[in-house]
This record gives sequence, C-alpha cells and structure tokens, in this order.
Amino acid sequence: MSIASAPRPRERRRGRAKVVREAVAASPFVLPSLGLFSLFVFYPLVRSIWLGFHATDPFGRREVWVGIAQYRDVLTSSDFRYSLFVTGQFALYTVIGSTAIGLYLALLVHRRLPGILLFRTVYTSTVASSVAVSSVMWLLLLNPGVGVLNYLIGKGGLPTANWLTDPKWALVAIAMTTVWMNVGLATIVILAGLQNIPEQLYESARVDGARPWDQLLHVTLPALSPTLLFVSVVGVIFAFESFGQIDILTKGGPLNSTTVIVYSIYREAFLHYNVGLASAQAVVLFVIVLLLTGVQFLAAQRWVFYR
Amino acid sequence: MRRQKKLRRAAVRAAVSVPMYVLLVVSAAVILFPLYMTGVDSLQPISKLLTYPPDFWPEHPHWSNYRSAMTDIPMPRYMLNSLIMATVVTVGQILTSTLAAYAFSFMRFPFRNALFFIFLSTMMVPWEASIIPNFQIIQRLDWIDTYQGLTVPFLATAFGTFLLRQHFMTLPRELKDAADIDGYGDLRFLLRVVIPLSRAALATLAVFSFLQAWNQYLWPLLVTNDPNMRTVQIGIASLQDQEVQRTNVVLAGTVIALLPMLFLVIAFQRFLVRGLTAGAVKG
Amino acid sequence: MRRLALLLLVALTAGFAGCADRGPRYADGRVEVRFWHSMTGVNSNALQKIVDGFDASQDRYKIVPIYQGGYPDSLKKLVASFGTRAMPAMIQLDDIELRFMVDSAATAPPQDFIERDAAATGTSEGYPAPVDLSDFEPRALDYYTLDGRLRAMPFNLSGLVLYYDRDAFKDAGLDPDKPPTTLEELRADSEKLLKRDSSGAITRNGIALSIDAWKFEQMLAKQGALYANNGNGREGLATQVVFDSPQGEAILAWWQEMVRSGLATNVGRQGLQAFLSIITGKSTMAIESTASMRTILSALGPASARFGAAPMPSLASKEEGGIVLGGAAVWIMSERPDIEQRGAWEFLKYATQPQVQAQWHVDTGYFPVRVSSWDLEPAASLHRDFPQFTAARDQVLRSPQNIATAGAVIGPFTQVREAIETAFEQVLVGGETPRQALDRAARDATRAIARYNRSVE
Repeated sequence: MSIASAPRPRERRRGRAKVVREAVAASPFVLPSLGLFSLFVFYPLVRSIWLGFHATDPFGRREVWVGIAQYRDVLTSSDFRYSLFVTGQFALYTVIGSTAIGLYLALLVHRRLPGILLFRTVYTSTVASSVAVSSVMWLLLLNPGVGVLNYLIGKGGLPTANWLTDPKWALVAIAMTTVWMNVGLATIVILAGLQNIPEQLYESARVDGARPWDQLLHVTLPALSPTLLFVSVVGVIFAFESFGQIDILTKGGPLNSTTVIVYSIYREAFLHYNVGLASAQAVVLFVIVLLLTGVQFLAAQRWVFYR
Repeated sequence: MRRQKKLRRAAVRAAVSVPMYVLLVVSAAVILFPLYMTGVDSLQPISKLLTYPPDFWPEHPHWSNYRSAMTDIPMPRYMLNSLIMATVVTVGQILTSTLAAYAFSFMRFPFRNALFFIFLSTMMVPWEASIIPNFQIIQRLDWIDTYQGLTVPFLATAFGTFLLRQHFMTLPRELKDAADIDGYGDLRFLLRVVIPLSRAALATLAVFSFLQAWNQYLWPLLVTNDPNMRTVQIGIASLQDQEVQRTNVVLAGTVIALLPMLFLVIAFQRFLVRGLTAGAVKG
Repeated sequence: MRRLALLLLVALTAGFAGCADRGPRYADGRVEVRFWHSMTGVNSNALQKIVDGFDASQDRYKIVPIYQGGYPDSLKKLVASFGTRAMPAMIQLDDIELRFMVDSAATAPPQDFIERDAAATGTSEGYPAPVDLSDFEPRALDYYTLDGRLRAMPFNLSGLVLYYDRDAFKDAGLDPDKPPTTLEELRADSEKLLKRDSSGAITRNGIALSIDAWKFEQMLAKQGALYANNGNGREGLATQVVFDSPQGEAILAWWQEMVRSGLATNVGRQGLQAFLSIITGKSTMAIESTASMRTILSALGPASARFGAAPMPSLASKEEGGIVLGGAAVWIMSERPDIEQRGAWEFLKYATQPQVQAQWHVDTGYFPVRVSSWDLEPAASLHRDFPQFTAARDQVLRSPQNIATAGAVIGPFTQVREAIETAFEQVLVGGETPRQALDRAARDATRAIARYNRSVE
C-alpha cells in the first residue's frame, strides 16, 4: 500500500462520516417499508417456524416444545400430502386455463381494428372481480338443478355433473371460477408482452415470405416466451395461495377433494385450533413457493428466447 | 381507377375482418356471460331462479332486490369500510414505495444492493403462509375489529417499490445533476421533479393497490368479527350464507360490490396495460 | 355533503379508536352486554323480542344481540377474541362445545351465580327471584352439568322427529296414525310408498335424508349406545370414541342401503333440501330437527295438516330409547367485567322464565327450557293447532335419562363430527363399506382427541 493511495486518517474519517451521512439521509426513505416488512413478513416467517416446533393449546395460552414431531406429522400425513396433490392439480388446471385463454384473447385484441379498445376493455374486465364476487356469481351457475351451466351443457348434448358436490368435479368447478377470474389479468400481462415485441421482427419475417400463421409460431410465440413463463409461474404461485373460492364454494369438500394447502392451514389453525400443526403446514407452503419462485428466476435466465 | 382499387381494398379488408369481428364478439359474449347472468338473476323474483329451464331475460325486473341488498344487511357500512381500508392501504403503499424507490434509484447508501435484494425477497414469501403470526400480532395489539388491524400489515409493498424504481430509472440522470446544482435536497427533488414526471406509474400502482385491497378476502375474514367492521367482500360472503333462499338478493349485493371496481378498471384501462409494459413484466 | 363527512368522521373514530379499554361498555347510561348468537330469520326476531322484554323490565343493562354466523363461525370468532376488547359478555354455542368451553377456563358457570344469588340476602334490585333449577328441563341440565356443576345455561333445545306425509300414507294404504317406529319398518313402508312413472323412473320415494353427524349421535343414543369411552366422557376424560360399535355400523348400513336401493334420496348436507323434498312430494318422509318445525309449518299454513310428526325411529328393537337434549346454550365469559357478567346472568334468568319460554317455544319451535312452560298459553294453543308439536314434546318427556342420553363430552367435537360426515360421504358416494368408513372415522376422531387432550393437560 503506497502512501499515495492509502486514505489518510483524516480522509478515512471523512469517508466514514460520508457513509454515515448517506445512511442517515436514506433512512427515512427506506425504514418505513423495511420496518413494515420486518414486522409483517420476516418476523412471521421466523415465528411460524418456531410455532411449528410447539404444540399449542386451543386458547392461545400455552406452547409446548415437541421438536420435529409436527413437521414429521405434516410431511408424512396422507391428508396433507393429498392437499398438496389437490393444490398441484388446481395449479395445473388454472395455469393452463388462464394462460391459454389469456394468450388467445391477447392475440385477438393485439391488432388495429375500429372498436378494438372496447373488446380489450371487455376481455380485461374480469380483473375487477374479487374472489368473493366471482364465487358467489358462479355458485348459481354451477347449481346442478337450475344452474345455467348444466342447462347449456345439456343442450349441447354433453353429460351434466353435480359440480360442487361430486368429488370428481368439484375441483374442476372451482378451477373454472378461478380461470374466469384470472383471465383478465393474464390478458393484460400477455398483451403488454405482445406490445413489447419490436415491429422489426415481423417486418423481417414478412420480407422472408412468412404468412401470419408462421409469424405466430416463429416470431410471436418465441418472443412471448418470457412473458408466458412469467404468467405461468405467477399463476402457479397464485394457485398455491388460493383460499377464498374454496371457503365460499365447497369448504374443502366433498371428501377433501378441494382442500388446497391454504385452506388446510386455515382449517387447522382457526377451526381446529391447532396453531402449532397449522404453522408447520405453513412453513412447508413457504418452502414450496420459495422453490417455485427460484424456478421462475432460474428459468427466466435459461430458457428464454433472446431477441 | 384509383377509386376502384381503394374500394376493392376496403372490401377485402372488411371481408377479412368480418370473421375477426365474429371471433371478437363471441369471445366477449363468453367472457361476459357470468356477469350477464348475474345481472339478470339479480333482477328476478326468487321463483324464477328455482325453475328449470332457466330464464335469460327478466320479464319484470325486481329492482327491489337491490333495495333489499342495501338494507337487509348494512351494505353501505360495508362499502364504507372497504373504501376506508382500500384508500388507507393505497395511500400507504404509494407513500412507502415512492420513498423506498426513490432511495434505491437516486441515493447512495451503504448496503443499498443488499437491501434491495431483501425487498425483492419479500415477494417470495407467500403472505398466506404467514397469516397465523400476523393474526397473533393484531390480536395481541388488540387491533381486532379496527381499521388499523385491517390495513397496517399491507402498508408496504415490494412490488410497488420495484415498479416505481423501474420507472425512476428511466428518468434522465441530468435531472438529478441539475437539481443538485440548484441545491435541491432529496425530498424537494422527489416532490417537485420526480413525482410530477411519474404520474402514470403512480396511477398504475394506485389502481393495482386499490383493486387488491378492495378485493381482499382472507385477512378481513380473520380480523373482523363485528358486523360493523366487515368489508364488502366478507359482507357478500356472509349474505350468501345467511340468505341461501334469497339468491336473487345475494346476487344484487354481488353486483353492488362489483360495480365500483368495474368502473375503476374501465376508467383506468390505459394504465393497466401501459403500466406493465414499462418493463415490470420482465421480472 | 357535510353529513357524509360527519358519517366518515364517526366511522373513522369508531374504527381507529380503542387503546385497550377493558372497562365495561356503556350505552345510554346502561351497561352494554354483548350477546353473540346464531339465530336467523324467525328465530332471530323471537330472540329480539326476549331482549326487548328484558331491556324494558329494568334500566341497568342493555343487551346487544349480534349475529355472528353459525355456531362454528361464532366459536371461531370467540377464540380469536380471547384477550381482546372484542370478546362478548355472552355467547350462544352448540351443545358439543361443552368440553372445549370448560377447558378454556374463560367462562363463568351459572352454578356460581346460582350459589351467589342463594347466599345474597335482602337484595332490593327487584329482579326475578334466584333461580330454582327444579322446574328446568332435567335432561338439558344433565347435558350441561359436569362434575356436579352447571356450566352453561341451556337456551334453545331441539330434537329429531320423523316428519311424514299423512296423505301419501293413506294413498299407499298405510295407516297415517301409525308411522314407522323402527328403521326396519321405515324401510318396509318406503317400499309401499315408492312410485314410479311409465318409464320406470322413481317419481316418489320413501324418505329424503340429509347428512348430519348430529343425527348419527341421536340415533346411537336411541339405542342406548355410547359415543365415547369413560362413560361418554362424563365419568372421566374421554380418550377415544366408541361409535364404531355394531349399532353405529347398523345405522350407516341402513342409510347406505336405503339410498342405494332408491328408497331414500341423499339430499346432501342441508336439512332444508329434505323439507323441500317432502313438500314437493318427491319424498314422503324426512328425519329432521324440530328447530325448523315452526318455520315450515307456518309457511305451509292450513296445508300443514298434511304432515305428521312422530318420534325418531329406533334401530330394530321396539324399546324406546331416548334423545340427547343438548341443543344450544349460552355461556357467560369471565374475561368481561363483573358488572357485564351480572347483566348477562340477569338476562338469562329473565329469558328462562316459564312465560318467556312458552312464548319462545311458540315463536321458534324450540322446546322450552322450563317444564311448566308446556302447559302455559300460548304454548297450549300451539299444540292444539299443530299436533306435530305434541308428538315432539312427548318424545322429550318420555326420554329416559341415562349416560347415553346425557350426551358425549369430547374436546375436539367439531373434528369428530367432520370425521363422521366424511364417513357418510364415503359410504354414500365414495363406495366404502360402513365398517371401513367407521373404522377410519374412529381412527381420525381418536387421533384428534389425543392431540386435544395433550394440548390442554
């Protein structure tokens, strides 16, 4: 270290003072968010893990250390594993449904036609509906006796179903409601992705003699793949966080065929008053979503078609 | 000759676009169908809802169903609660994310990158996995059945911070340099220069925040017991529970709960798509 | 505009207010006593009538009834409110929460108040005299008494009856005054009541069955069969269920066979659907609670004479067993200030007076908590107009008091009931045998009990 380059004591002090000044200046900007995150995001995470190690009494008064017993219980219990399976199924239905339909609708409105804005507004309008609103709306539609869905299906010659009371179909029914609810947002995001595709790509394809269908396959879809991937992974994460539709439409039944993980956590904590066990389930959910988000980040680097 | 060519081109365009319009209209009809049936059923007398085959048009619209929905349960109070909650959350989120995004874009401070990563990491924690401890905090603070309990956990958002930072980064560096020369402090620069230039991004964030807060279900379910503190979402879920026989009134209530958000989404259409085009999609 | 601003201001201050203020609540100079209940429709109006009567009879307390959804929802909110200002002074809960509420150590048993009243001398407050339990319905007292102390005040009692279509019976050649008394007879009668149309499809069958674990409990008690060990959880803490007995299996088997053969329709979990079935003539019988009797019979008006009510059938033997008369009860919460608890107790004393109970019975169809109420007006007139109520009453009065009819006492009863209802669904829709379904239900229930007992010891 030569004399010229090493900071001299006074400069070091000034350097340190500058850092402190910067920290102080930035604090009021960053601390509000950071404080809220610490209290309502990070602390709950740690506490959930801690609660998972304790058996709790139903009245919230006592916690008894039980080690990994509850975690083991959760990971080996057929009930919880079934709810993982149900959630995975649900994710599959809703992601395929909303991504495919969102893609279709976004492609449809991504053109210049008089009045296209009206259609775009219509297709994205379901983003306004909440879980409670969508569920109550679909409750009557899904009624096996007088619901319109079975009426239309029957007219079309297809077999009708007891949507919400048949263990085979209940999850599909809830997936339908969820896809309808999510399709607006999927369309918005995919449309934004479409609008980001530079015109030159289409130009050069046209010059090469590509017809619209080829353009779709070889220009649009590849360029859209990061968006589609984003929509899919976000969709899976949303599916793993779903709760309201199940609480309103089926309460986890029939025969637990619609008990997704969040409903299982809610039921265990607030209806069975087993906070410790429910927290163990919650930690497992956290790990799964963490892995999924990690997958999203990784995949975004690797499988994307760069322009 | 030219006019003939123009006409022919117009005719071809019309012929090509007719099937497109058909697709557009049919797709719109399918998407709108549940809303349509809900609207129709909300105006029917209950006898019509229990008949088969179902009716597709209300012969004698029973507007009284809407009156029932507003008076049988305290719907105006529910709407007010939702309004207060959503407004507080939106304002809070805008405040905290603007401040944080500003710091991450324009300020230098120790551990800046690490802190930004910490912010982003909160997006990886599913909120539903932390309901139990969050609920216990609210319970211990005795904030059950209060507006604080409904809103405080949501006053900060990493998504909003990220969105605004993306936008702030597009503002030219020279602005900050000029402001520094003019002796503007950080706060003044933020208020006088950055915010006026970020209206679109702020509007997008406001729309999404408000929408998300208004539509929340699980959290209000946990922290409100008092019917006076219920939000509109819990209100229609409990209306559905209580008035199982009067589905028409329940649907009227649902329409009432939906309309404000529908207006919001339609009125602010352009912010929804454009806001996301600003690069947030690329994750 | 200004009114809107004022409304907003009031709402905001009300909503944001509340640094932990644990003192008693006041309203209009009276002590405000919050009462969480689960009554809807006609029953809710009847409750309001009692509340208004009490408020008018004194000027110290004001009861504020708040509907909190069904009993499970209400309990969930109660647990969430432990340690907060949101806790009510009184809550109406299902009978099955007995063990849970006692274990919470957060309630003030009526026994305490009864003893305090008896010890107090020369109180000049002018309230109804201290309570003498001898006129109370003994079976309900049996239910809510643990270790010799009355833990909650029975409030709305109901039982299962067999509703049947007298006209349909006549039409099928059956005597409308001799409804089936055993499940076997019910089956036989259903075969006669079955009607098909020209294409062979069933247009009318015997009975519409709704799935309810409570029914299973009642039917077991009718055979004198126990539900949990250690004397139904009354002689000692229950550690496992014993409903996977031959009687339990027989009940499930009967249920399954009736639905499979088309003699019964499985209408799902809503009792209302069963009523709709018999009203529209799709079925001719239903085994449902007396809690809706008032609403249904009033809605039918003069047509109500078409339906008769009979005691719930027993399994196969002709002995008459008994019913579990738990219903729902009101608990006083000891976390609230003493004066609110006293207000709650005074309300309960008022509400359980014979005359008030007679009116409650007439307004709702719930059995009166006071035995003397049966003979008071307007109850006597009700029975004259609607003989179905007399049948229900007789079933109560004839019910023997034993361990089975005292009812089971289990901590995580909700989970046990869920296990039973799953067993029903497995048997009716899932294709399991009654033995398989019951075994699994018993396993799940016992596991839940073990976990609960461990957590509260």
